[in-house]
Amino acid sequence: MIYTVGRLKRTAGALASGTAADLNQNEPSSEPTPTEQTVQSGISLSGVSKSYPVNGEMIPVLKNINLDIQQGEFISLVGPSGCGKTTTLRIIADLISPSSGTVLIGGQTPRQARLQRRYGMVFQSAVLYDWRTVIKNVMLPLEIMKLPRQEQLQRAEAMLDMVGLKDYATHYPGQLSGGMQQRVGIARALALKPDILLMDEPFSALDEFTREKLHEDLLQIWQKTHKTIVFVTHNIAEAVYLSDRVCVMSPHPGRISNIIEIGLPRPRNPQAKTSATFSAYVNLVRSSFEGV
Amino acid sequence: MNKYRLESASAAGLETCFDAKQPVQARLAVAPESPSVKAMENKNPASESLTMLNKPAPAEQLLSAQPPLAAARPAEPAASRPESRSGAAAAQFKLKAPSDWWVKASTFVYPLLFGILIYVLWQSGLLHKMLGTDDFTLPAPSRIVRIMQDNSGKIWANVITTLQAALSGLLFGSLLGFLTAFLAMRFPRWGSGGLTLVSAFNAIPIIALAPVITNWTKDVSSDAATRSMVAKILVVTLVCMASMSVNAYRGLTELKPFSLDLMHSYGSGRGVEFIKLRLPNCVPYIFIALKVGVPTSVISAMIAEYFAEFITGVGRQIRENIVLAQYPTAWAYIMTACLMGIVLYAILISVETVALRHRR
Repeated sequence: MIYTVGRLKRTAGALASGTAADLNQNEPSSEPTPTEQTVQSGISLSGVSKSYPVNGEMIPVLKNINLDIQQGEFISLVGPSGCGKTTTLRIIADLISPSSGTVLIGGQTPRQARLQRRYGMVFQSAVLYDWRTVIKNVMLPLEIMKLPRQEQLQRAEAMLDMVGLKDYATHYPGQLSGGMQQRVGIARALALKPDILLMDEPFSALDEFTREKLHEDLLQIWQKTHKTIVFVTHNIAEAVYLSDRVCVMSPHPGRISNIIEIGLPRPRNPQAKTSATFSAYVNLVRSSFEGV
Repeated sequence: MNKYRLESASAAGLETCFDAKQPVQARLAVAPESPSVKAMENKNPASESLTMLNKPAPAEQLLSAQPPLAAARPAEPAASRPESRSGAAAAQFKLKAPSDWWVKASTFVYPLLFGILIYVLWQSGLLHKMLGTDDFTLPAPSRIVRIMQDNSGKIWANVITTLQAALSGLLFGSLLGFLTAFLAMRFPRWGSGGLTLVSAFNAIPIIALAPVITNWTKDVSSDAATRSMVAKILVVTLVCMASMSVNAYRGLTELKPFSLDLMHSYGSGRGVEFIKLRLPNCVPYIFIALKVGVPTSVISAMIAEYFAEFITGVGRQIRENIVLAQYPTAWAYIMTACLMGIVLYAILISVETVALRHRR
């Protein structure tokens, strides 16, 4: 026991002294910025504001959001409760409309993009319909698209395979753990074969072990499918670990405080979380918040 | 349930890790004498610093030659991947089996014992002494059963009449109630007013409603039997409508968070939204309404028979026989009425169990 403590102290010292060197070491190996890519499934928000009437007064929730998301980019919106990150995502998804400003999704309005089912959405809870089996849940959007039955089955099976739940196809949601349910939710979003994946705090209700597993799953899926992912979270480490860029938002009114490019090399693995560079990025994100 | 399972699974994982650590500590205790470990310690604090926070790595360094760790490592993914429900459920069942069994059985055994006690008291005449009544007013169960057997044909005909009134009233009432709920969901502004109105009907006592409706329907048909049936069905319809409308409205509108957003994200119209989401979501609520509706329909049909013109139906027979002081026959019909209610309710519960077997 005593031995362990002593060892911890020593390594902590080594980590502290190595911070600067680590940062320098990793900086050059960061990925090239994807600016030269096409914006086919890129998302651009310009001057987007949203306010709600409260007791006859218009309370601004989002103020002048400008953000360009590149095709194939993994971007996180991170911030405390009430900073408007979910509102921003819902505006992109056309679940609410902005009070002013314009949103373009690959040149289309959010409404057009929604009706063409260009994005898949994953919510805070898995939102599985508990009267449907797992595979039937994944098939739900495909039924609505009126695809041929055989194709529905094939696609749903492939997606379940991708999230590692092939053996659970005929189970009911009530028989799965929270993490498995959320993976079904992701499979259902992917079943549409969308260009864009919108994720609203998808892992916030999960325990740490499951969450870390799903991080790896998600990164793998992203690498395989090259989707544009907009990921909303209040977990800074999660945002840094997963993203190409982290968009830091602050509340009252909701606004973008900083956009930080994460230079950690890809593909990422859990070891990266222990590096000093990682901690430095986490601290950078944390210090970017304005007010509370 | 899920949370508990997850905890127990990860606890199991930790335990395995802990067991595997035993040799680690043993090894550490003798570390000063072991040159290899010492050498490694001195060698590279830098590489250690990088992996310090990553638990498996130091353990691996220290113990790369030891087989127990290899056994422990696969346990780690298991900790983050919860085992399937059946496994966890089986473990829980083992733990709780005896008490669980008794909890389930006792809900059945206690009422049964109580029933047997009443039967014994009743048949032996002790109940009559306790209540200060006699054999004529309250015949023994054996006599009631004998009367039921002797008059089975006539009783059955009356059961059919009452069931016709009760079940068709239940059907029309439920349909109208569901329609009200649908309108209230679709047009919230004035639909909810309709919902309140329907609920207000529920406040009118059946005893007040039945004679009024019998009076209203006296010109419906020249046949007394038809007139009576219409009146009875109307009473049951009105009574059954309220519980269905209120419950179905909840089922159509109280959706899980984000489930409506999910539908919108698919760009689905109201029709799809209703068929794929609201209607299936409503099913358990329909059963709640029916659990109220089924017994109520039988009772209200029998009360309506009290006031109906035509002398038929189980309820009417109870009344007629009491009026004629034929108490044993009246008791046979009372027993029949109880059986009708119980059987219908049992059928409903069985259907519900099958229909909702996959829902939590």
